[in-house]
Order: sequence, then structure tokens, then C-alpha cells
Amino acid sequence: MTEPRRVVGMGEGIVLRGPEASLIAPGLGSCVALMFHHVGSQIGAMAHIMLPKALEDGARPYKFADSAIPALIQQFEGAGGNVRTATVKLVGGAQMFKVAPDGPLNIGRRNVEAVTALLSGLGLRIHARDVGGNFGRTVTLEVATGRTVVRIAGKQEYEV
Amino acid sequence: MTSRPDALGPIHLDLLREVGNIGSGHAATALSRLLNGRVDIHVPQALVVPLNAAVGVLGDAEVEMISVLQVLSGDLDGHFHYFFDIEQAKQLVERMLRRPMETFGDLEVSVLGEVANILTGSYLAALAAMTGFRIDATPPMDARDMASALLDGSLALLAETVDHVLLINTEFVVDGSAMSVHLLYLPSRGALDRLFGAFGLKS
Repeated sequence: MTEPRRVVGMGEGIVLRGPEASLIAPGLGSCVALMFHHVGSQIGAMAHIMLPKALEDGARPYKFADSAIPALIQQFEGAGGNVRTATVKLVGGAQMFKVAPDGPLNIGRRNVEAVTALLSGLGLRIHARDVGGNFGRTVTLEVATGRTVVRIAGKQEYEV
Repeated sequence: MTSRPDALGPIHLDLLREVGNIGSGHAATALSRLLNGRVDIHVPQALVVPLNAAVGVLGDAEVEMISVLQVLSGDLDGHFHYFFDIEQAKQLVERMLRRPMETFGDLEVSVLGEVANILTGSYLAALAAMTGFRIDATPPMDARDMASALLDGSLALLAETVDHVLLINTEFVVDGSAMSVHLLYLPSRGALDRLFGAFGLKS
């Protein structure tokens, strides 16, 4: 829990704490990174979600928005966080290829819609988001400060 | 029986490489005509890769690449995902367009879509001749971005049902200079059973 920097791969959810800790999701395309962060207690959580909804019960809850959200909340609160007072951020959900915007291949948009609706159903608000478009993103969450930085290929990085 | 590529043995991979080599023979002829030069293509490697390691075989998750995606349907479905290294791709396109490129924009990238389309057509024709399968592919869709971002949508769609993907490395030799292209085939559930079943193999 006190490792300085952890990569959150596809279908993973990680909670970290400590002054030097950061969480990074590299190269998000249609995937989304959902983050909870608590400045006071220096706890950060990140889930790298691939799809809106699980078809069957799987061993990897963080792949799917509907199972990832309760799992991440449980892990975050188990580590001493409180999701009600946390800052919630969402990054990713792009459409990388020119597929039909309403078709099944546009997973990015469906991921963003699913996470937004599921959080709203729990009475949780997304405080900051950087979603959509046709480009990939790498997002880093600095746990101590909550500073959230997005990098896009060939562009200046920016804060969300 | 469900498709579990992790159960594939050397005989299955040999078969895939053989299909690749026969297909790439056709593709090499087509590209040689297009380039009016000598093009050789061969398939040195076919690998089974766990879904979560698929990005790793391309290099760093954040390395910029060009990808061409074609969605297959019919008797064999899934996604064909070609990955080109940017520098090598630039050389290939310069060779094809017969001029040096100052920029590497959408037009130039779309040339790679055509290269991929020729390869796909050749692989599918070879498969059809060997199995009688009827397989359709969508027109090529191309994009340039971080490797992981290009692949995660296809991985997500197939992650619902499949834990492994097939990686088929293809090597082009154009007038003596070599460049490699990675083709990832992400099969839909059941696709590999049908494929190997057609050859009388169980997967």
C-alpha cells in the first residue's frame, strides 16, 4: 500500500496511500479510469474499466463498470477512505477508430455513460472528467495531492 | 467445447503459420505488382498471448504506433489488428508512393490501410481455399496513437468471452530491406474451434 508508483492495468483496481504514491493508467483508449481521492487521508483509488456490464460473474470485477464500482468503493473504504467525501474523477472513453457512433464498437461512449449512471444511482457525483474524443490518454493520480495529470500523444500534458 | 487458445499446442501454431505463409505468398505477389519491386513476405512467428499481455508484445503501452483494424464476420469472426512501427511504416509508404514524405498525415496512414487490406484478403483467401469457409472483412480502419489505446477497445469486446489472443508476426522484405508488421487476431468465442475443426484438429 505504500509503494510509490503503481501501474493500473486493464481490468485492475488499486488503492494506494502515502506522500509519494501515485497511480497511473497508461494508454487509455475506449477504457476509462475511475478515480477516488481523499486529500486529508492521502488515499487514492483507481480502476481501469474495460466494459459497461459483466455478462457473467467473473474473477476480475474491475473489467466491468457494474462490478468495478462496488469493488473499488469497498477497497477504498477498507483502506480508510470515505467515498461520500472523496473527489471523483473519470478519464478516457475515446473512440479510437471511425466506427459507427451508436454501434457496438463504440465502447468508449458506453463506458462513460455506464459509469456516470451507476455513480449517479449511488448518489455520487463526478467532480472532474476528461472523456471522449478520438485520442488515447495516459492518466496519473498523485495520491498525496490529488493532482491528476493527463498526457496525450504528441501534446502538452494537462491537469484535470 | 469452448475456445481456449491456451490449450493450443505446437501443431495448431504450425498450422496457423502455414496458413499465414500461403496467404502471404499471395499478398507478396499483389504488393510486388503495386510497388513494381520485389516484395517477400513471410510469417516467422505465431504465438498465443494472454489477453493482459497483448499490449506488452507490441512494446511499451504508450509507444506511438499505427494500427489498422478489420472486423471479420461469417464462418470465422473476430478482429484483425495490424500494428506498424511509425518509422518502418514511413519507409514502407515512401516506397509505395515513390516520394519522400515531409509529413505523415491521414493520407499516408491510409496507404497502410490498403497494405493491411491486401494482407487480410490474401490470408482469408488462403483460409477459404483450405477450409471452404466464407469470411468477410470490413474495410480497413486506421488510427495513429498509443499502442494500448489502439488495442483496448478490441481487447474489451473480446475480454467478455476470451482470455487469449493470437499474435502473427509478419515480416516484409522490400527490395532487400526488412520491416515487420504485427498482426493480432482476436478471435470471438468459438471461432478457433471452428477453424481447427475444419482441419480435423481439436483445440
